[in-house]
Amino acid sequence: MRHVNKTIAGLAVLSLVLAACGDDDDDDAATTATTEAPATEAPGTTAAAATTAAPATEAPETVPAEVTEAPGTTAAGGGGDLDALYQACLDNGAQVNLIALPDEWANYKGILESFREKYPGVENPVQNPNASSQEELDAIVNLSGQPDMPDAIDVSPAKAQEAIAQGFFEPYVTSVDAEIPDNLKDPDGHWVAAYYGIIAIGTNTTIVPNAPQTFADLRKPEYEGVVALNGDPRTSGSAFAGVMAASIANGGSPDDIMPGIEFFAELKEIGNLIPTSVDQATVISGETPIAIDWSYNWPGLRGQIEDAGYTVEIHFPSDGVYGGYYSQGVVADSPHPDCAKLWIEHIVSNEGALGYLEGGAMPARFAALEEAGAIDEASLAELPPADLLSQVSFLTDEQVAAATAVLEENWGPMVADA
Amino acid sequence: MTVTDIATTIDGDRAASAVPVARRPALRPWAGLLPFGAFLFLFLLLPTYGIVEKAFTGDGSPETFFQTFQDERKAFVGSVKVSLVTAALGVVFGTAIAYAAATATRPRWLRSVVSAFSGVAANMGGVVLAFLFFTLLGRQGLGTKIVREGLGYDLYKTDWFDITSFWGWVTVYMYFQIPLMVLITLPAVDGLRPAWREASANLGGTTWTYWRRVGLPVLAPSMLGGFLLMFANAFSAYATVYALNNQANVVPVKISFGLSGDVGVRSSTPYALATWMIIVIALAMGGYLLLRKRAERWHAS
Repeated sequence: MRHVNKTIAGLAVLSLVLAACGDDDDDDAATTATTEAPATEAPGTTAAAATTAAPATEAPETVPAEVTEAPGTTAAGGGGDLDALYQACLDNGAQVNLIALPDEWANYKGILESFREKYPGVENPVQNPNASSQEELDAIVNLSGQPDMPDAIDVSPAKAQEAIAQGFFEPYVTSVDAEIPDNLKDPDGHWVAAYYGIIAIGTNTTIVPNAPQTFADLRKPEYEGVVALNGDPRTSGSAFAGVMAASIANGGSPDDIMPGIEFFAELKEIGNLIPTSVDQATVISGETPIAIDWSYNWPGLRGQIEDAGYTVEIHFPSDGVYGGYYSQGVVADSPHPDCAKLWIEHIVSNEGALGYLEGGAMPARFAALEEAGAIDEASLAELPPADLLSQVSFLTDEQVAAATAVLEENWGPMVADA
Repeated sequence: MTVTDIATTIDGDRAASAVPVARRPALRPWAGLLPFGAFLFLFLLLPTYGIVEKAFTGDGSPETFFQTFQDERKAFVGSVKVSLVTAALGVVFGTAIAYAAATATRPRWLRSVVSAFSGVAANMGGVVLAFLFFTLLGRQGLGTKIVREGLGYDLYKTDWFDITSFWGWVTVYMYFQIPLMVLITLPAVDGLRPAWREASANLGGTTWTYWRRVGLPVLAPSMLGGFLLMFANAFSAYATVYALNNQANVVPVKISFGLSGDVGVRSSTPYALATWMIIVIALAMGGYLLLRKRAERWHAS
């Protein structure tokens, strides 16, 4: 995303190919990110950089031991197995190569930090934090056999299916498997979904004083030129979710995304929809005053918008409840398989779960944590209302594929190029 | 040793060395080209081959290759449109600025400032540039606000301006296109000798005659070269336009849809598009070479 498009200057002909292959540009960005990542390997740097923020992760420290030992824990593992895994990780590289985990996404910053606190001596550099799911799969292929090959990935469900088909995952059943609902894990253990969220509408109320609460509100003339989706739904998972949620709000269903496409076609027609992506820069500059994005991206973004001197209001549209998760799994034949498993254990552990909660994401083991009394009122502050979360049902792979096909065919003529 | 002796010695040396000297020229020029050849192979031919190969393997075939062009005709039209418009505007403004900078004598630093700035701006692009324009001319941009509150004219209530629309991209592209043109034409403008203009005036020529019969013909090859270079530059721009408008219907954005993303399944489509893009730009460059040859031949006579 962040590369410079101007390699051209002298060698015109060379530029053609560089440019013709947009991928090369991306690789440039990836390389830059990669070269930055190892810098964090220096033990001191990582800790120093991370401790500057998110001190709240210290709170959950006290809870985990008792809950991991709770009767619900699977026979597959208890605390002892984790200790053995930790030791194996220390003996085999003491590093887990991560990719595509932005700091502000679902509080990954805090979760990465709590991992380093819990497992001292294990580094967890994140390559190319803003990579897309496809770029994660590309990294597995391109870096295969190299020491910086990703050890664990966090990809969209569609790409997780592709990864299974290509044999990219090493099946791994976590020690808390029994507490993870069936619809949040692969039956064969290829991946788990450690967290999920719903679609939320965030509004910069300094620019737009009267924040929309539902998808229906977005049609109001007062929102002319201020409504943004996070990307193009033909390529961005969060934009896809935004369209699906809008579809549900407008008489569609998980099997029918068309009303969502029609809804955004209408928003574009009346001039409310703008084609600017939602990211740190556009949000802080106020260029996307009303943004549709995952609920768990908002706590991170909100802080940044407020730092920029604006006020923010986040609403969870009750007319379009759509839940989505990303799939996390261990990469097959990666350089640090033990550390990768340790990382997956961490994100489904109590610390990981509470970290996600802090970022406004719903952890997969929420029920287990609640039962164990590990969740206090304060950690629910960022979470969407329970009555909306309880409506969440996830799309099947077939539904995702069908909706994608409809989008591919109709988004261009009806919305993007209309 | 007599003079003739020396002469024969020299001749003898010549005769002795004649054989290797005669053979060397055949290899030497090629040896000098080796690094360039290696560079060309590694960074141009190999990647091109990789792209073309992927366009025709897997689910790719000649049929899908042509079908892809059919399907994305609009993206090619969009790319060609923005490239032609920004290249044409770049030629006009870039040449004018280069001429002004080259001929202005008063602030002596003007020329060096213009060329230094051009060197920087011509290489500026991407997300950073797009963001700068957002903060200036976006809906919440400073410039937009000044115009709205100062002059009571709301840019975004008009039909023609929106930083995310076609003329918005053109505006942003001009930021690197004009400086690129300045860099290309500055040396050529320097080649226009004042004596030619004086000669034209002495023979009764007006300013118009001078430009039509002397100035423009001399500048034509570099203006043409600049035009095609800027065409290629704009055609290949990706990050800038994507940051401005993630729905932009231009070829590089369409290629990125196929290459990255969370949703679709990868196919040969992006590679087919990239191959088409190589073809378009190769045609542009071929045309450039032909035209330039013609212009230079005319210029030489």
